[in-house]
Amino acid sequence: MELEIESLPNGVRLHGEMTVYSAATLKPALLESTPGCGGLMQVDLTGVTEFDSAGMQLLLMLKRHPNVSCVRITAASQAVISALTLCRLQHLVEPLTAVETAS
Amino acid sequence: VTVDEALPTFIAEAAELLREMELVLLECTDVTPDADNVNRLFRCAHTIKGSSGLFGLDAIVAFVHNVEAVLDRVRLGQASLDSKLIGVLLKCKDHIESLVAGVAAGEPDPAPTLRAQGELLLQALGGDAHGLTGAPQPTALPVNSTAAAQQCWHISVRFGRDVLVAGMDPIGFLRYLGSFGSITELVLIDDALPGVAEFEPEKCYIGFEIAFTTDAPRERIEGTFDFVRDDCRLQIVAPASAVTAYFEALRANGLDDVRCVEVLRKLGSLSEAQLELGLRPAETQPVRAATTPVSVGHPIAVGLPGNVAQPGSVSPPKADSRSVRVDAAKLDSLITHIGELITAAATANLVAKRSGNRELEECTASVSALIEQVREGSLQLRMVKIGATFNRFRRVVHDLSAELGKEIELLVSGEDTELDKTVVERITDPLTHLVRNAIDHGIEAAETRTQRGKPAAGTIKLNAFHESGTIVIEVSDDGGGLKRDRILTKAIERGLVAPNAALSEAEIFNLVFEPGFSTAEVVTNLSGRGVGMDVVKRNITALRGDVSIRSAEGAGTTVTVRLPLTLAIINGFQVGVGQSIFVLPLESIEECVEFSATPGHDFTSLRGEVLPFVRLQSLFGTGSPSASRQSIVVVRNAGQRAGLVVDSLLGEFQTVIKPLGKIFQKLDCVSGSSILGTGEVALILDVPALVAQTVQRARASAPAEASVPLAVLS
Repeated sequence: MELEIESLPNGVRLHGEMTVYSAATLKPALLESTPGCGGLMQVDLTGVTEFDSAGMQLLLMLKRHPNVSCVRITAASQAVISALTLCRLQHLVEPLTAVETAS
Repeated sequence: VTVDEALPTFIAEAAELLREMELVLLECTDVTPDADNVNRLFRCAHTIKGSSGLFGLDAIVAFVHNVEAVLDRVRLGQASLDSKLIGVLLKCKDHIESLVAGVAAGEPDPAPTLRAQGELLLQALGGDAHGLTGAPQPTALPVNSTAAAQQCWHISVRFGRDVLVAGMDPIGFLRYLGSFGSITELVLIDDALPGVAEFEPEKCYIGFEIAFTTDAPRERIEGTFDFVRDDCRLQIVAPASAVTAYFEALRANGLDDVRCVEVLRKLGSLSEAQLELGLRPAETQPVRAATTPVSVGHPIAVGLPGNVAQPGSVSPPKADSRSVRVDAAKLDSLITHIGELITAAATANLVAKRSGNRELEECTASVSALIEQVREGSLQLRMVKIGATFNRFRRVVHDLSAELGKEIELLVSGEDTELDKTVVERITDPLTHLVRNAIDHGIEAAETRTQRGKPAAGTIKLNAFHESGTIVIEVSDDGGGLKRDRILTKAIERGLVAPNAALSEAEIFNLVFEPGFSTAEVVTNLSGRGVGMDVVKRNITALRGDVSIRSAEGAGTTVTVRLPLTLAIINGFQVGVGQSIFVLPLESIEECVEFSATPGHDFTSLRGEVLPFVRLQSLFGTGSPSASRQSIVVVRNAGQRAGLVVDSLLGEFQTVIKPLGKIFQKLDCVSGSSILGTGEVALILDVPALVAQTVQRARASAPAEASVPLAVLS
């Protein structure tokens, strides 16, 4: 599946791979969407097929962006959840249970 | 430190962890549990298991292990933390508490009944997990405590910048570790992550601190990281290593002491006692160790702004890691001695003044100032936050609302308000009674609430704040409120008030504090045990406190409890009346003004407002009025003001409160006594009682003279 970045009113929706291979493209794309988010960056990762440490670093980077006070993953695929759970970062995804049923 | 010496620390620590566990569980009933809550629960269980293992408390280890296993499944999303499981876990927590209590009592082997109870709980736990997962569930694992404790390795790893480009995924290593053991806890270390501008998306900045349980040998763990051997920094700490080994490994991987403690606490690798032990050698070196972020020359951390530029990531050590446990009895004896010291110093002061020796006077003055500081400081030692007491009520509310089938939410505010430990201990029972009462009689059944247009879930609020030297605690509910007419009818029936008495609303509500007064139609199992509001009032009065009630029918009730901040020593203001000296708590005094009175009446005009006053002379019958000018001391309590007419103002003195003897306890308007520097006894006035009495008397005489106060005003 090809990489697709969809801008949302206060965040972004990603489709495809969120890995080291797409990271270079994703960084500027994610940064572009930060000004409009009003501090609370909402990220929809339902369409993310692959997710690795590079993808996770992108989320951590977003968290540190001066315009972003909070990163919230509104929905995520199983690939994302399992990686975040391994790293004990499930709290980025809220609410956890809702997402699990969604995926 | 021998095992026996460390045992009390274990018991205290377990008690704290269990309290936290209870708190988190109850939080989970209010909101959907998030990962953080589950992790906290898991960590509590894990730490209790670990430290009981150290003491060879097999019974506890075996039980907690099962609890931990269930929590682990919850964490992995294989089981959900629903209200049923929370209920069972709460009971498990109680059970662990009983087990620990057994250890504290010197009987580490639980009694057969306790054992049976534990097995029942384990079945409930196991059954629950079955129902939820459908997965085969190993039945109660017999655990060898030492083995369980020894299996837990600590892995600290930082990956090189280029591992991602080389096709390695750090998360992949975690997955691989999972194939021959289990990651009990993990902390992601992202301190090296730079700011947005410097962040290169294809470089790797992260590392992990892992608590890893396995029976595999060290080689196997090391082998996991073979592919990145040359491109990572790996530290592996064997199970049950010396405390210093943990700290050395973490420091080697670039964590300062503060972060070390934070990480190790989170992982549950070390107990609090051990954490403190690990910090000790660092403290003998200068503090620099804790503030230098990373030693220079690290292959990874060099020159990365991320290490210094994130103040948020380095949190200060929690206060509790720097605290010392002190026996409460020692504190009490310290306070008693300080009390004696104050009296002795007052005598010294007096003698110095009489001697007319300037130098001596100066000396005693500075000694007194120091004593005052010592007094402040030592009283502060006994101050505790009321939050812990409030949190206890979460459990009460949870259990009772389940028992009564009412949905009730508990809102708590002002948890940080501090008050004396002895007061806290003695206020818990009356407060519990008030909360039970609110749940049982206050909050209506859900149908009634819906009919009245209120949300089906009732709310109980606990609030605390400081007000003029007292602490105010409010227990309010949004329930049915008190039925004014029914209270009045009942009071007349019982002969508590005359049928034609004109009572204010507040006075009617306060009738519920009369002995044997109950308006509930149905005596329930909860609060109909014959212990009524009168006992609450008696307990609070015994603490020199005061309780009042406000209510609006259909909208709710608020019970307000006022308590003195401390029971031992106060800042007192001495006044002379005739030959006697009385003491007023300084905090209750608003101001002192020259005596003036509306001729023939017991009130005066204070800047245009009516101020009722009482002549202490006639109240206490202390002989003929002195010829000198009299003063009015304006005191305030519970929003009301009153004046006290005195002959002389003697000024501020520290006052050690001595209780009154039994025969004097019924005395109105006197709350205690104190010994003056001269050896004389001064009575401490009960300001709330005085104010109430004065205001009441003024009101009683007001109807006849209604026009007079107005005349004063104009």
